[in-house]
Amino acid sequence: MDERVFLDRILAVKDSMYRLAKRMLTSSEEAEDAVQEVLAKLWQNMHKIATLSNIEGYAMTMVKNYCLDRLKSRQATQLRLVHVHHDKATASLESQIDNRDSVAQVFVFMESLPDQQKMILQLRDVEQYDFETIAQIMELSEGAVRVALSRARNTIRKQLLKAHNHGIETGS
Amino acid sequence: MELKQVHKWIDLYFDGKTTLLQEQELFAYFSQSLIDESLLPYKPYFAAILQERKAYFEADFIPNRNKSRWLYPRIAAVAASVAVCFFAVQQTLLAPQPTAEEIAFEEFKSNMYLVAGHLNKGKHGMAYIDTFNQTTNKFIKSE
Repeated sequence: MDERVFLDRILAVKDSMYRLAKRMLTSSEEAEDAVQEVLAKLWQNMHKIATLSNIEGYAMTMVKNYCLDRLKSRQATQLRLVHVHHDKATASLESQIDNRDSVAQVFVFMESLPDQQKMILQLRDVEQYDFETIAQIMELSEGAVRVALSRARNTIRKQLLKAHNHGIETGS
Repeated sequence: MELKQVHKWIDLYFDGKTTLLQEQELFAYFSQSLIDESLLPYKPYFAAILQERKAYFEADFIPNRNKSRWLYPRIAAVAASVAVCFFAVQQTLLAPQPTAEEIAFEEFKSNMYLVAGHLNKGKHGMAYIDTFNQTTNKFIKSE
């Protein structure tokens, strides 16, 4: 495969890679670093990867694995704790009392999901991938993806309803 | 889209059972300014996702070509080093080795130099032999 064609194909998914990394990691800067690193690895291994049918999916899988590795590392865990703490403080002040920043609150809800659910929700709702593609990226079965998505969305739904009722459980 | 339909799809959506097309229609519905009050709790979620879709990777990716650019000079340098070492070893190993006759000749030569050196040293002492002979002749004549 020609270098230019390969580059165009991997750069076509750079925004999706970035959004996934941003969802999983602590900051935009860290997400940018993740994308740069994954793109560099893809570029270095161009001749091996060029033979794959789904380069874009492979790139997303690399981002997923990169993020999970980062989250496992001690450094990322420490940063993440600080980040979550900050978000929760914001949520308690603004959305629970005043509920003005409800969109920001949704990101807090998403942040609280388990890593796998968070990624699947991101791939489906933000990137609008079909289940087959998500299953490939996540290296899971389609059934497992559907179950995780359902759990993630149901959790979000409960939190949305609770927040809408100013923190009062409605039993729905 | 009818309100009843939206409610039905919302339930399906949160159970993860909607198709991508249905989801697109839901997102389109929640993008409107007028939303039924019963669906307002879900509005922030759809708004957040729509906002998230706009995020993009701002930095540039510049492919690192250094590896390929310096690959051939590196190979050339390594090849040159190997070649130099090879010829140096070859010169040492393949230098003409002296034959047994040559070794014997060299030993003989050094021995001859040794003998010659001693002879030259002794030659200085030979100068006194004449004086000794003169004295001896005098003694013999007096007899």
